[in-house]
This record gives sequence, C-alpha cells and structure tokens, in this order.
Amino acid sequence: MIEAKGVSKRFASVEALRELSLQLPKGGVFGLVGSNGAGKSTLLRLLSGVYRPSSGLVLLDGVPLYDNPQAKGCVVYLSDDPYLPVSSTLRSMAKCYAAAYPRFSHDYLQGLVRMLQLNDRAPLGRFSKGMRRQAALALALACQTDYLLLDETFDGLDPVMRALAKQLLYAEVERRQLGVALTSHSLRELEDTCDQLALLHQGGLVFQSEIQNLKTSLFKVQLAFSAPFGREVFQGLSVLEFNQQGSVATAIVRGDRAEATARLRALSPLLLELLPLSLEEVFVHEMGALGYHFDPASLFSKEETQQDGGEPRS
Amino acid sequence: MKGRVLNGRLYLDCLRRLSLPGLSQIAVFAFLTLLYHLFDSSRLQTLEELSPFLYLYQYVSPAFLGLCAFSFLFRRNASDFFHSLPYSRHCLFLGCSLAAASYVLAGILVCLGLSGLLLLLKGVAFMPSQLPVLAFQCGAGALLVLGCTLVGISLTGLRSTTLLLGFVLLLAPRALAALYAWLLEDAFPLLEPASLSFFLSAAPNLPAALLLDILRWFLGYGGSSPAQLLSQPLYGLYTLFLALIAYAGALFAFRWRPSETAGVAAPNRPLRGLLRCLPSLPFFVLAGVFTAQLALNSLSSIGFASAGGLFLLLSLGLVAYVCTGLMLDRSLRGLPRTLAVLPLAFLLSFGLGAGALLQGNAWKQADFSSQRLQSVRFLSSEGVSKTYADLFRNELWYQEPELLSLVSGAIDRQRQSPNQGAYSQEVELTLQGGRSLRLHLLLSEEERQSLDALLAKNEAYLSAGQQLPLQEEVLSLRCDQLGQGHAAELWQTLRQELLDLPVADPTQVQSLSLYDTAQAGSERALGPFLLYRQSSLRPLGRLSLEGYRGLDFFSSSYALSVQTPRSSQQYLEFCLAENQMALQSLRQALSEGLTPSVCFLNLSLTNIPLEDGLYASETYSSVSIYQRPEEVDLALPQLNELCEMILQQAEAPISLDGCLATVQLSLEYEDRSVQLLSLPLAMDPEALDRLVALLPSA
Repeated sequence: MIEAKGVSKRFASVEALRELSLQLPKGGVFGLVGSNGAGKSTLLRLLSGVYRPSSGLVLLDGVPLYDNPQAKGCVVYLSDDPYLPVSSTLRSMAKCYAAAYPRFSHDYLQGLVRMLQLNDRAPLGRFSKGMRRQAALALALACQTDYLLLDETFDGLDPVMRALAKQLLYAEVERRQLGVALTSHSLRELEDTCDQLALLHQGGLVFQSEIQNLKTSLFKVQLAFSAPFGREVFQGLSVLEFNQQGSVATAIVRGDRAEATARLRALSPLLLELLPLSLEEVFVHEMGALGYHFDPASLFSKEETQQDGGEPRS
Repeated sequence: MKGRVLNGRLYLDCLRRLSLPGLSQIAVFAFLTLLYHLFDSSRLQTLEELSPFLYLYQYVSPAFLGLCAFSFLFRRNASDFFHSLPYSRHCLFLGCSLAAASYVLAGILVCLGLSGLLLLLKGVAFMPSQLPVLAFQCGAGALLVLGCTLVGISLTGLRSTTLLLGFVLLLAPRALAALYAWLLEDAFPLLEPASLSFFLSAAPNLPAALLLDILRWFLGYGGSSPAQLLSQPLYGLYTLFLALIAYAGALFAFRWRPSETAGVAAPNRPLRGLLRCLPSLPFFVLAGVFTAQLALNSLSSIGFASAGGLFLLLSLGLVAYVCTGLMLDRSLRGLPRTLAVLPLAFLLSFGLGAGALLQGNAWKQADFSSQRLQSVRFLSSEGVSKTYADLFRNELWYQEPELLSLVSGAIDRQRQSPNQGAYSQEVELTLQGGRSLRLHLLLSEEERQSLDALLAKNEAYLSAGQQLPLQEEVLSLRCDQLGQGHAAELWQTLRQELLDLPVADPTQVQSLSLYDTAQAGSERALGPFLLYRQSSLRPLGRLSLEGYRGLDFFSSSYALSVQTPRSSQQYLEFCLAENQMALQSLRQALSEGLTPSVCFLNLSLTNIPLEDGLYASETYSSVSIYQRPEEVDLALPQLNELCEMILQQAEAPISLDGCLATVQLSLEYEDRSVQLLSLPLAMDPEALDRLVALLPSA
C-alpha cells in the first residue's frame, strides 16, 4: 500500500497540498478528482517519488518512497504530458525503461505493440497524440510494477482505445493485484473505472471513499405536500442543496437512504421520490458545498447592465 | 542498498542516450584536427600545437555534453519522468555525469591519437611522451569545466542560467585573484605577484588561466602563455583537484535539488537575487577597486581611476541592475530587495583594492639590501625561446656577494627611477628568512656588462653552458640546406667535438654570432669589393636544434667554425655530396658547350683574411640575361670560367684555413631547363684572388 501521511507540498509561497493523508491500496483502481489546481498532479508526483514532501511522509509498505530506488521500483508514473522524445523510438524508450525497472517485460510490450498496431521502430515524433498516449501506457504496463500512477492518461484516446486501455488495467489488477491511481476530469469515466475515489480541493482531501458508498450516500429527494412547506421538513437530515418550485421541492441529501426515506414518509407527503445521483452530480454538489460554484448568469447580467448603463440586476 | 551509488545499467543507458551528441562533437573536433594537421603543421614548436583544437574543446565539449546529459532537468515532463525512475539522486547524477565525462575524455584521446597518427604519417617530429601529458592537462581542464557546468545544472533549471553560473564559478575566483595581482603589480611594478602566492595568479586553474590569457592582450597583465601553462603538471593536478571539488559540490546540490526546478531560472530567493545582481557586479567591483586607488592616491597606469571613469562605471552598473531586474521580473518592484548587494560589493572591492595597494607599497619599501638577500637566480624572459643551456642556468641559485650586491643595487636604482634600463632581466630572490619572490628588472648597460662578467667567472654557470642536448631530447635538426640524415650525423660529430673542447670553450663556440660586432680597421680593395666590414671569424654554418627537456621546450643553435674542425670538414663534405648531381649536370653542360640564356649568381665570401689578423665578409649578386646585351652583368666567358673554377674547387682538398665562398648559381637555358647549385667552398688565397678577378667591377 502507498500511504501519504500528513503530506504537505509548498512551491515558494504557494501551498499546493496541505497535510493530506490517504491510502492507495494494491489490487484496485483509485480515482483522484478535484477542482483545477486542487493538487491532483502534485499528489501523484509525491506518491511516485518525483517530489520531496515539504512535510509529512509518503510510504510504500511502511518504507519512505522518496529517493528510495527499491521502493520506487514498485511504482511507475505517467504524467499528463508523457516524456517521449521526438527522435526516440518505442524500442529505445523500452531500453530506457528496462534499464530502470528490473521486471520490465519486452515480450509483454511486444504483445501490446502488436495489439495496438504501433510501429516500434518509427520515431515517436511521428506519432499522433493518441498514439503517443498508447505508447506511453504500453511502456508503463510493461514495467510490471505493483503500482501504476496515471495523470489524465486517457485524455486524447478515442473511445475504442479508452475501453481497451481500461480492460488492460482491469486485467492487470486481476492478474497481479496491480494498484492503479488515476486522475481525470471525466467523472463519467471514473465512475465506470474506479473502485475508490478521493476528492481534493484547494490542496486538501475532501473525502476518500468506495464509489458505491459515495453514490448511495448522496441522493436526490423530490417531495411535495398539499400544504405550503419549507426547508424545515428536512430537519435532522444533511441537506447539501434545496430548491423549491411551487409545491414541489428538490433536495440533495447526504446520509442513510433508508433512514431518510422513513423520516420523510412519516410526514405523509403527496410525492416522495428518491433518485440516485451520477458521480458528476455528486462532484458538483460536494464542491458546491465547499463554495466551489460559479454563476455564469451573473456575468451576463453584469454585461447587460453595463450596456444599459444602469445598476446590476439581482 | 543495491545500486545506491552507481548503477551500471543507468550508466550504459546514459552513454546510449548521449551517443548522438557525444559522437558528433568528437567527429567535429577530429575533423578540425585532421584539417589542421593536413594543412598547417609542418613543424611543432609548442605543446599545444600537437592538437590545437583541444584548447577550444576543453570548454565547448564539457559544457555541451553536460547540458545534453542533464537536458531532462530543463523540461517539466522529462524531469518528472527521470525523477520517477527507480534511481537514487546520487545514482542519477553519477550515471549521467560520468557518461558525459566519458565522451569528453574520449574526444581528447581521439583528437590526440589522431594528431599523433597524422604527425607520424607526415613525418613531422614530435615527442610521443608529450601526448599523455597534454591528455592529462586538457582532461583536467575539461573536467573542471564539466564540474562547473554541473554545479550550474544542479542549482538552476534553465540552460542559460546554468551556463552563466558555471562561467562565473569557473572564472570569478581567479579573475578576482588576477585583479588583485594586477593592482599589486601596479603599485610595485618590479614585483611578479604570482611569486608571492600560489593563489595570486590565474595560472594553476588551467581553463580559467587560458581564458584570462586573453586579458593580457588588453591589460598587459602578466599571465602565462598556453604552452607554459600546459607544460606544468602541477597545474593539471590542481585543476583536477578543483574539478573534484566542483563535482562533489554539484553532487551535493543535486541531492537537494527540487525536481520542480525544471524550467525555472532560480528556485530560491538567494539565487534569484544573485542572478539579478550578477551583470552589474563587475562594474561595482571595478568601481570599488578604482575608488581605493583614487582615495589612496596611487594612480599610475590605471586609466579608469578618475572621477569621470568611476561615475561611468557606477552608472553602467546601475543600468545593468535595472535592466536585469526588468528582464527577470518584468517590473521594478523587486529591485529594492537586492539593492544592498551592490554597495556591499563596492565596499568589499574597495577593501580588495586598498589591500593590494598597501601590500604593494609595503614591498616597495621593503629592504632589498645585499645583506637581506640570501640568494638569487637569473631567469630567461617569459615568451622568449630558451636555449638548452638556459634550462640549466635558470635553475642555478647564486650566493656570491658581488652578484647579490649588483641585484640589490639594480633594485634600488629602479625604485628611485622606474623604467630606466635597457636590458630586461627576470630575477628570483630568496630573502633572509626563506621568503622568495620574483622581480622584473631593467638592467642598465653597465649593470648588464658587470653581470655578464661575473657570470663568466662562475663555474656553475659555465658548466651549465656546457650541457648539450641528449639524442632522445632532440625533436628536430636543421643545418642550412643539408638533409635530415646528414644533419643528424653532423650533430653527432659536433656534439662529441664540443664535449672534447676545454671547459671554457663550448660557451664561446656556441655563442659565435652571424652578426658579430664590427671592428675598427683599415679598408682594403678586393676585386670589385671595398672590404670595410671587418670582423672576427664567422662560423661556416649553423646547426639548429629544437626539442624538449622533460616538458621544457628549447631551441639552440651551434656554430660550425674553425674551432670545430672535424664538424666543419664534415659539413663541407656533406654539402659537396648533396650537390654531386648538380655538379655533374654543370660539368655536362660545359662539355656540351650549352649557353644559358639567364644567369643568377649570389656569392657570399666569409672569413677573408686581412693583413692585421682580422677577417672580412662580403656578398656579390648579379643577374645576367644574355639575349639582352644591356642586361649582362657577368659575361659568358667569365661565367664559363667561373663554372670551371667551381668544379675544380669542388674536387680540391678541403682546407679550413682560408676563406669560405658560398656559391648560389641558377642557370636557365633556351629549352627552359634550369640548373641550380648551392655550395659552400673552402678557398685558399690564390683561388680567392682568381675568383674575385672574374667578377665584373663594381
């Protein structure tokens, strides 16, 4: 297991990560989501031993990872802009990886190269963006490490290749208990791919949870009463968001689904419906709860006001 | 931990990654070496001429390959990739830097190997034993440049700042030392500052010294020539020591270098401040130094030390500071933060200038009386080729009171009236107490003569003059127009003959000059000549040789004269032997009655005996074009007679008692064929009279 214990990372006066702790287990896929600049890439670089933590520890099976070749030999990291020099070939890059990772498998790589129909003798500069991503992923998988850290690696892959890449990851997770950590802004993709998810915001960890728990712990409630009502009907429940239009109210609630249903049903509503949330909706509502929301209407209304020469409209 | 210090697989992988730039730069320098030796190396005089492009190579190659080996540190994604690989920092640094060093050193070996091979193929004489010395010296220099580049790489994240920091690290300490030495010399011009301390000269740091050597052209600062620098293995060792320190420093800095430095000029505030101040520092350092000179009122030769010059320097420094700040920050907000560095640099430099001035003045007032002097030695001037005897004489220390007194007097005289004297003389003194220092003296005519007279009586000095080069020390031999084989054989004879001479004689024999001073005496008419340049005996010829005693180059010339009869006889025999073909051809032309259309004659007469025991020399030249009657100097009958006479004289027994006539004759015939003859002939008085009678009147 890779474990971050109270890790902070500072760049000059900017604190990119703040006393963050999390665990990355073997044999599963771990997703990292967060707002832009939340510290996802920084966290992956810390977990792969690229960065030295400003404070705290990054451990692999209890051993510090930074500047520890043996521990780092169990981890391969693929950045969002993979290092593939234009003049080098897949073969030459394979030699470079093979020199560093003792378990590197040329046979495995050849299998992937054949499957992905890549030319391992052609300069990588001639590859398209998607092909370069494929090549980088193939090299990383061929290292046969215990952990694979992928920073937005699926960006630039077409849907067929994405599906194939995911299958490859699943196969490796199953075959040799590979631990994968990946970041992506496509929550739809993470929803299908990951077992666990961590949400980062402004350098801190908001939560780390199983995907299934996450999706069941946050749900949408639609409610209607014959008499006028307000937010007070949700008293005792954790409500992230509340909207009411006429006699119908919608709320995003965090907590136990059965308990919430029983509590609301006891109020004899005309309508009571509990709807599951997509991961994207979970992300938006969780981030909204942290104050991370923007209202484009305010921009347009301001522009209109300025054109009219009058006061801003509310 | 396994692979913690050096990983062989990483090293090999780095060698593979660097193969393109590494082999390319080796190929470029090998090609340049090839071109140089194909077109421009007929004769080697100095050590660096063995492979002159190594001079440039030791700067270009390490900087280039250092940047290539660590190119990943300048791009974010590449830096992330390499830092994510399972190598320790030590291991990554050692693997990449050793791969770069391997290519750098391989290039030096290739260039030197190629030079040696080409010189062998061309038949140019050189000392093979010097190749490893040059390899060591250049290798040490290149490793120091690499070390400084690596320090720059470990501290910053851009190529430009890396090179800037590396350059400053390489040059700044020695430049400051050279500046101090220059000021010291300015305060007391007789003093050679480098003799006071190992650190008061750029010389021991080879790459810095070779760069600062350029300053000599502008400032007249007394540095050392590349050949002198490269011939000092101690300097190479010291440079290697500095390279190891730089390398260790770079390794330490790399160990703590944040990987996020990639693409960033300066990852921390002190370095940012340093970079901001760097371009303006030289101006403030010079201004501080010159202010000290102004304040202590010791202006002599430093032209900038005036109020106007100082104002200009300070203004330029401020402009440089503001411009650099604007370039780095794109605003003026950051300027006040590091502004304090500039007055600090000014004050420190003021201290440096004042210190040099005070030390120089202290030496100027020092006691150099003969009682204070323990010993003295006389050195050849820098930049002048040394003879073989000079190499031995330079090592001699004299304690004779007369010599100490002469030197002490010369120092006192020059302290009172500087720059008075005609003869430059380097001396090294040992003072009572063991302190030694070198001084540049200008001896007067009288002092020079006294010194020569005193040395001529010194046995050690005379004995040093007797030293003759050993066979294995000789690189090349030349003796007028003689071939190498004859010249080498002649040297064997002459060497033995010189060794057999009485103790005092070799010095006199060797010093026989072609341009000895004219003697007063009577004039005498001889044929077309009026002999008025009367002189002592001149040599028949000269045997010049060059070579190395250890790593010291020498160039000596030995006279062939009546005092070395065996060698002189052999010389004339060899000349005759080498001209047999030409004589045969001339003989045939005469027998066939061929008439030349053009004749060039140059006749040089040496050692014409005069009645009063003196000798004279004269030359005669003519051009005769026989198709044009108005351009005939030497008529055809006289020419034929002259040729007959040359042939007769060539067959006559050689006598060294009379005059020597060196005949250079060129005859061109109608069919464009040419006959050339260049021959020294010994002539008895009767033959000389007949020869002179043939020449037309002046």
